[in-house]
Amino acid sequence: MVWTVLSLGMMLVAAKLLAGNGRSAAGWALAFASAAPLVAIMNLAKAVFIWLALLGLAGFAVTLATGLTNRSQGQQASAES
Amino acid sequence: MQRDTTKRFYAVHSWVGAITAVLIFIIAFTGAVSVFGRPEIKTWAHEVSHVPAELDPLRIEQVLREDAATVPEAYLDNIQVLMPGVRRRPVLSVQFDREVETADGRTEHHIIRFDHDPKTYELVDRLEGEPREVFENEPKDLADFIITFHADLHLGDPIGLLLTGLLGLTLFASIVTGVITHRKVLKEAFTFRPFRSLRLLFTDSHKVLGVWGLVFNSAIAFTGAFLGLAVVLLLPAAAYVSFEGDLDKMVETYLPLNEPQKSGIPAELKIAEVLSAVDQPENGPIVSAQLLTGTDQAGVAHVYTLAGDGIGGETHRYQLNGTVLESVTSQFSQLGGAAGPILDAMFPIHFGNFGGTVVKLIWFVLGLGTALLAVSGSMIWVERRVHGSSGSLSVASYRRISRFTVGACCGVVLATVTLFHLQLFVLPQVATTQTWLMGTFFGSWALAIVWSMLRTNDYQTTRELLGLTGAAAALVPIANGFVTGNHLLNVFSGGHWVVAGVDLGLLLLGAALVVIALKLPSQRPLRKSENRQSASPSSGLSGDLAYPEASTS
Amino acid sequence: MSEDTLFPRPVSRVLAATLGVLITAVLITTAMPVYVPFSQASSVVVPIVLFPVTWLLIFLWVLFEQKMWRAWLGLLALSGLHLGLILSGVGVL
Repeated sequence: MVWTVLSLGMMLVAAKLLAGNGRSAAGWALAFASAAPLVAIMNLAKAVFIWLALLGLAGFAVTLATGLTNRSQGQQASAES
Repeated sequence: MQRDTTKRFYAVHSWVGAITAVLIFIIAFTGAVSVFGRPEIKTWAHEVSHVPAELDPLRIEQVLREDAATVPEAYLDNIQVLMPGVRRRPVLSVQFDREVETADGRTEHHIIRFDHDPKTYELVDRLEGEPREVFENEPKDLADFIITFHADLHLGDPIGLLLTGLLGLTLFASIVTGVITHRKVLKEAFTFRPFRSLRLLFTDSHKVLGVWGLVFNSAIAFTGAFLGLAVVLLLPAAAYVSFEGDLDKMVETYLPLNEPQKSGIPAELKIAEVLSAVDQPENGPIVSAQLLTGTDQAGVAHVYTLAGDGIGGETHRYQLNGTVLESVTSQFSQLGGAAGPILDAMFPIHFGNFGGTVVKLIWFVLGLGTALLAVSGSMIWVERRVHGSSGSLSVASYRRISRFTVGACCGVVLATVTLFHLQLFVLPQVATTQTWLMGTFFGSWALAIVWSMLRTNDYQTTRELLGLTGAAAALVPIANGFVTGNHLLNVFSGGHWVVAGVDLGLLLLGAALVVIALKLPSQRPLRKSENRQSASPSSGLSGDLAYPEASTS
Repeated sequence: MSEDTLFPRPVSRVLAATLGVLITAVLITTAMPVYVPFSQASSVVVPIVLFPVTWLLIFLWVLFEQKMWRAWLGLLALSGLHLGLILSGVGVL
């Protein structure tokens, strides 16, 4: 469990870096490096499946958090009575 | 030409999604809940299993011998011991199986099953009959109900499985056409603008859920289609070609049980050493143990475990005489070639039960994402027809579709939560558990749909249903504490960790739903620009097609 | 361009894309063990696992084929060919 959580943490940081700059070398490197804790403790197929799932989860979490906290991306919709 | 092709892909994506959205939501949501069906929710549902029982091989062996002494000898060649709190059983079950040749040459099975309290090993129930009959007659709980509903919508075999299998195919088609239509979607992967406009909220949500859930959703659609269609359609068809339609014969040919040849030398039934040998940290939890010709010196034991280091469960085959390990194989490794590893991966990838609680949590969250993907697409489809220039039906008709969607989707979530209350207050006291489960679930779901259809403001209805569901979910841990005495505040002394986990999950989800309900608008926000867009004289599809590109401006 | 222009003959097309494609895909999957070069169990299992891909390819082809008569002809040809393989495998043909 600890290693999977570590992998998720690394993936979240990678996603945050890539959200800011899609070409960030550090972001891409960290994204792939986040597979290492998983490969270290389980067989490759299992590690790949979990890594792919973590990629989706991290990307979604960072995108959601950025969108919800960054109101300057656009005006708030006005309600019509 | 390329624009026409993109338009066609978009139209296919739009229509397949619109038709299947509500069903995909229902199956995805109940699927997400089912990830924790066995054993977590099942453990929560039965007070006898709240505090996990330590595996005591010697006591289990003693119980096995006591039960065996009460059944005819013909039942002793195939014995299964099912462990409590690992998958399907809240209690320890010892099951004796006898094969019977019928007059027309078929083989039928007759079982006698003893259920024991997992801590005291006291006998709590004895059932007998054909396996299917025993399964159908035993009391059901909310975990069984939700899992079965996800698998076949309670429409049974073959209609239900066919339907869910076909929905897997349509989800697969939606994913592929969606990716082809939104070629810029990878560039927009991090774009989420929930406060700019309602239309951008829906479209950005749909795209974000689609991109980040792409691998997961594809895997779920693919494996879901396989699981639904293989058993009822494709395997019987294959059996028709190669085995004259005899599916059992095909399974026996490709996955033989490898029953040992009897030596004729009697032996005492034993299981303790084998269980101790397998119960090691590198192996997954033991699900069950099967003894074949256990009363003979040549007897073998198959011990089935959940995934350990690998992705699928394993079978540890032991010679009982001397407790000699013969092999450790995966469920389908006997098939050889590519077939074995592929099938071994299909079930764990779909169920998310190959990596402990963390992987289950990931599958749960991504599964909810699949459900929200379907409903956000439905919102886009309705929005363009009620407030845009698309569609050939009247605005009133599209509003009715919208109200039905709200009632059906919010309603299924509400209905699922009501089952937790039913499990606490009613099911332990009644014999007709399935009737109560069906009545409560479908009754509360129907009420939600009727409520939604009678109301005119979808936004307010959504707030009401989500708020009610959230409150009901948050109350479950409190109710559990009153009924069973096991709650979040005494988990350290009580040791009921799984129960606390389920309670905490319901509390957090309930609170989240209440907060979301309070923050949602009570009516549709409008912008002046949307009024101008709805008046533009574009044809349905070209107006729609301008929409994905326009959203990035 | 309206949907009718993008997808001419919608009723026939929907029928082909639903029932027609499903039947054809099942027949192809059932007959594949006759000609795929895999071991005995794999020749049954692999086509079944790949069924969603088989179905999707035919589904998209039927929807995108401009002339419905070509779509139906294609479905009938594929179904007929594979039904023939099934029946010869069973020993009827």
